[in-house]
Amino acid sequence: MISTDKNTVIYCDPFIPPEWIAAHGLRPLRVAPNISENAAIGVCPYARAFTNEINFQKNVCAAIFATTCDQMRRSSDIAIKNSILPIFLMNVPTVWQRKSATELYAAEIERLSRFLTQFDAQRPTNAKLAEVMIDFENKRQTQLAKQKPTDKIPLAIIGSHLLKQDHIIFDIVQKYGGCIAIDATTDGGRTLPGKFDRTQLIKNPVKELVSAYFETIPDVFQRPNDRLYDWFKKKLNETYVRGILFHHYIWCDKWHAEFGRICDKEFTSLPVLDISAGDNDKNTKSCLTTRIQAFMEMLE
Amino acid sequence: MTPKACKITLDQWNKQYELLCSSGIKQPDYGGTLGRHFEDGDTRLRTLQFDNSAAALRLWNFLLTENERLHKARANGKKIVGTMKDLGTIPVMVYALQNAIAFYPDGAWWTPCIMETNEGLFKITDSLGIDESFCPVRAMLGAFLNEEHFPVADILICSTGAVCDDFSAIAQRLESLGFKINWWEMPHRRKADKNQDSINLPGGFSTPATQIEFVKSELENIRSLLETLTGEKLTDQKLIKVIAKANVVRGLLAELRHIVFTAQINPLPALEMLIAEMLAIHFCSDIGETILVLQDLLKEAKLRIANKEGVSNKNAAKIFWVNPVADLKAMNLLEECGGRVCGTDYLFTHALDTIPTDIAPMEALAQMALADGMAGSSFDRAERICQDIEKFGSEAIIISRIPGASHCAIEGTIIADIVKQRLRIPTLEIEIPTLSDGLQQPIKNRIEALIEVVLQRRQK
Repeated sequence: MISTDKNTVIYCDPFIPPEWIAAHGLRPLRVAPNISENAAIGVCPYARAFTNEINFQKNVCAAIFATTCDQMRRSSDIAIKNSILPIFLMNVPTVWQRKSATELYAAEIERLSRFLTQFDAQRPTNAKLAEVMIDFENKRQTQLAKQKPTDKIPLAIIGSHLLKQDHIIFDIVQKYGGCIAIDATTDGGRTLPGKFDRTQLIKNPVKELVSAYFETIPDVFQRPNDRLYDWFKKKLNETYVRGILFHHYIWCDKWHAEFGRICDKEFTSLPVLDISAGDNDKNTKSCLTTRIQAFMEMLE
Repeated sequence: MTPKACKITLDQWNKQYELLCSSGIKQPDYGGTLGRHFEDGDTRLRTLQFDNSAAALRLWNFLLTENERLHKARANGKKIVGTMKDLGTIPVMVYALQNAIAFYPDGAWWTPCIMETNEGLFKITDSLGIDESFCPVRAMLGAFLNEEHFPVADILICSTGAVCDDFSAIAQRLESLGFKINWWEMPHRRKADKNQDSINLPGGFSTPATQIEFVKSELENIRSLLETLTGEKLTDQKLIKVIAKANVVRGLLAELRHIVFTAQINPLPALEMLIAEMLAIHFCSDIGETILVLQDLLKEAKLRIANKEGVSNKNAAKIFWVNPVADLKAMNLLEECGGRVCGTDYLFTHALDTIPTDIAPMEALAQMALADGMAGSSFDRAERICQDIEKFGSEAIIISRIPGASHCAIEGTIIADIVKQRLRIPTLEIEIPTLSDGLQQPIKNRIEALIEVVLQRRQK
């Protein structure tokens, strides 16, 4: 067991349940990393930024990567090579329709627990885990309740993770008379876990955790990824939006390949604006602003 | 008549072909001049240098007639299985069945090279938003849509999970266009934890027994799918038989690679060796013929070694080559610069290793699938490369990057660093586009610089 006063576990993937980390007595920290310098051709800016970020946060005892994309999976190798932190790579299955995939994810949750117990942490009892899960769920509900409807032009945004700098997209949309009514980025409402079944929660909280995360969150990497489209279509039907922003990073194949499908009139008749983001390009912000401004003018 | 070993152009091959015919050479039913493939649109052949042996002619003709073979199989009532991404495992299962034939649509990634983009596959994919930021394997999507390069498969089976994003994303796009895909999960291979049973895999990697169990269960699903498709029981006995046959192919390739890579004078060109290795993946739709093609090549290589003749200068720099090249011409280029290939990792080393025969066949196949260098960490792959470099005595390593491929940018750096640290040999990373003519001079300059360093090191 590693004795340390550092108790923060850093991660960025929505399939890593923070409740699980917290129930071990550690502090989960999901970050939106800062863009890092030294862009490299072929390397996703987000994967590079997260790999860099893990070395700059305070009190971090470990970092968790996930296999949900190839670049992030391989970035964990870079982290192992360059960082002094212990690195855990969580295998999140891409197939989801077979029971064996759920079992594989559950086994990874248990393996994560064994990893975490290196750091003055203990595997939680069922009661402790259930308590933490309820606490986290309540906080999420409180956060969601704060969102109030506005009279601005409602938009949806769908796509990958966002770097810290890219949250400016929300400000730009607002500045030109819009608001994000559906945040389907990897850091938005799309990747919230399912609501915990309180009866199951008491009986078998680990199983409920697996169900709420692995069996519920729709994502682009899943094969097939129909769940993502079903979720988004449902949201578009429930929420009146006038246009869609599609965000992906250069070299992010998984999202990039979906642009054509999102635009397809069989999926939606709404206008879709591609706001793909490159490396640390000084022109990115002005280009992004101009494109969103033009899009908003078109929707007015 | 056995001509002295050398490399010749397509035009020279046409003349050589007449000589071979007049000497009474027997050809298989797919035989003929190489020139006919050029006439059919494989225009890149005009720019390549070929080995001048009858064995090489047979190899090329075998490769370039696969589409005809697939159509013929369909006409004969066989089911066509499109196996995607796993490179080497599922086809073994398919060939255990009487009434099925397997091929990799992934192979279309070389079509824009072979046809010098005149076939328009990239234009089709561009129109679907799959542009040049993706690996050239995007050509596969176009080939599915225009149906000109392979027949529509009766079933598609694709591995996913610890695979490259380009392929997975393109395959998903394909499915969204109405091509039903049966996905199977390849978990990220890792080492066993302290409390877990660890299994050594062919090729030298290891994995927890639980991962093998998981992959086995995925392969069992595929077994059921294939049985439903063909109406034939895929028994363990049939698998044992086909594994033995696949091991003949792998054994021939192992011997061929060993004698070619370690010969004093290089007996066979890098280009033909690359194609020979590729046969291991799915046997170019005919496992029996693959064995005959490889036997011919092996015989030719042995004869040349005995006669002390070959296709490269005896001082050629011994290069270990990592990743397949999008432009086949790059393999010629290496030899033009004074190098020869002595060791390879073309992303399918697991298709070259012997399949274990002392365990249940499905377990053996699960082990082979998990032995894929791409399924684990870059450290694992680098470790195997280091071992092979030592085995073949390679003096330098070239890591060729595949344009747009999700794994190359990160993995290439790690492999290069580890090889440099461990073996202290020169390393070079180059990117080879689908048609490299425009970049030929800079690529050549870089390879020549590497080879100069290798030759200087010999004198120190």
